[in-house]
Amino acid sequence: MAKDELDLSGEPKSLVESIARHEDDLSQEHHGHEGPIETVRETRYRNHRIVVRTTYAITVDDVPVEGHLGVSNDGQVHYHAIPNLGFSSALDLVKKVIDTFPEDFGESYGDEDEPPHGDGGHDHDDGGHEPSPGAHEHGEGGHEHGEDAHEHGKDPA
Amino acid sequence: MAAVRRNILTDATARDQYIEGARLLKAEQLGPTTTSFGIPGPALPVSTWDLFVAWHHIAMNRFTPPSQMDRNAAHRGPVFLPWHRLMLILLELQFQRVLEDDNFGLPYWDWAADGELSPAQQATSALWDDDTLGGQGSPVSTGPFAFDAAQADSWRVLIAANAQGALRSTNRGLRRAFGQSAPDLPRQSHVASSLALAAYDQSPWSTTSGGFRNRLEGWRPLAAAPGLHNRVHVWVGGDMLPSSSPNDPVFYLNHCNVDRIWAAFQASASNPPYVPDNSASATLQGHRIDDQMYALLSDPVTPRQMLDVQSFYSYDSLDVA
Repeated sequence: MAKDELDLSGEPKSLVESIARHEDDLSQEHHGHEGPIETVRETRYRNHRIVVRTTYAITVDDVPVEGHLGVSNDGQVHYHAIPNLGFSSALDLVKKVIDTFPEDFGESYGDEDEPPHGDGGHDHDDGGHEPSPGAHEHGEGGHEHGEDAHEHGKDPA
Repeated sequence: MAAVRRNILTDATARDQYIEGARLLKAEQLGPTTTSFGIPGPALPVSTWDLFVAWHHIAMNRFTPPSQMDRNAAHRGPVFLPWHRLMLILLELQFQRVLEDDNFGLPYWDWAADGELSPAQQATSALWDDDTLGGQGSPVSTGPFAFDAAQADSWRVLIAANAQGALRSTNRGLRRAFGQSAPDLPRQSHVASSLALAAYDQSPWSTTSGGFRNRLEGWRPLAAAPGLHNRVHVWVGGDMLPSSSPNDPVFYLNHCNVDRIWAAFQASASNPPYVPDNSASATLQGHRIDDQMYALLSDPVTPRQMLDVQSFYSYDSLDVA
């Protein structure tokens, strides 16, 4: 493509106008679903159509997590708010969401563990989501497990 | 004359221009506020830099087709590489405008070279020095993109995705957390393996595909995922994790290197063609070679138009692995 063929909306004002035309895309409070999230996997095998529907109802401290969640045909579960990661476990996925968006879950951001605030749920979660070398190793092992699970036809999560 | 894109760690001029241009684009307030764009949260002025954050987010939230939740208008499918090539070109033109230098080329971060260092050394690479991108933290507190609440001109994240995947306005410093979500950067051998693949992309044209695009994007091989591009996002962490990742200037250094690796793949003797072509299923609309990409900041552009961009820029080196 030659440089003069690219008809840019290159001036800042026209860039603004371009984005403004997509206000609806920017203003959605929730891009995901109200209530449980249903994922659909579909493939063909020996001239048969296979459809697997999986329903996720995720809460953190009883508050629903309703963003876009998907499952690829190899069983990896992914969440749209953290788009560069796939997980063999939805629990590991939610822990990563908590780590990535601390303000949304009422916790401070940082490397130090926060003490529980009289909340049994926090007590339960603290050991699980604290980033640590051990957790990383577990996460990588989880991917390997995910492959095994896929080969054995198990659903993720 | 076309721009030449250079290694940020070996070209101080490109480094300094990139930092200066990024700060100018971040400071260039265009009139509208986050509220006028309908973004929830306090009303904050929107800059040229922020528009690219919004564009990336919008494209990522446009599933192609809407009936599935894997492939989107910019990722997880064949269009990943041409879409980001267009994004870089459009941003590069903005840099050229504010720097008043038509020959400015976005620099790249050869992260696979840093990947040859030990994990501890990766976190102290020259890229993170005070005169380059600054280091990690919440907020980042060193370098040109450090946050100081008392300084109005310090680097502020104003638009960010939340846990539900929606944009909101915020007003805080940049966040990075090296190695917290992936232990190390990709290595040169990983890049070399991607270049050896025989196809640009393969059915089912998603995160489960074989082929070069999916390997470079970072979804395969599964046991090593996140790989390459994804792994860089994940290793840097913090604001590089959500769909609003262009908030961090390292986003473009990563993608410039991804684009350089694609350029090396294109320059290989075999030069596998871009696929799919437009005889493929309509469910791949937006990813076929003559489909309109979700351009938003320009008139429609197709993947085919992004295959030869030598009138825009070239790389100082295609020695990527």
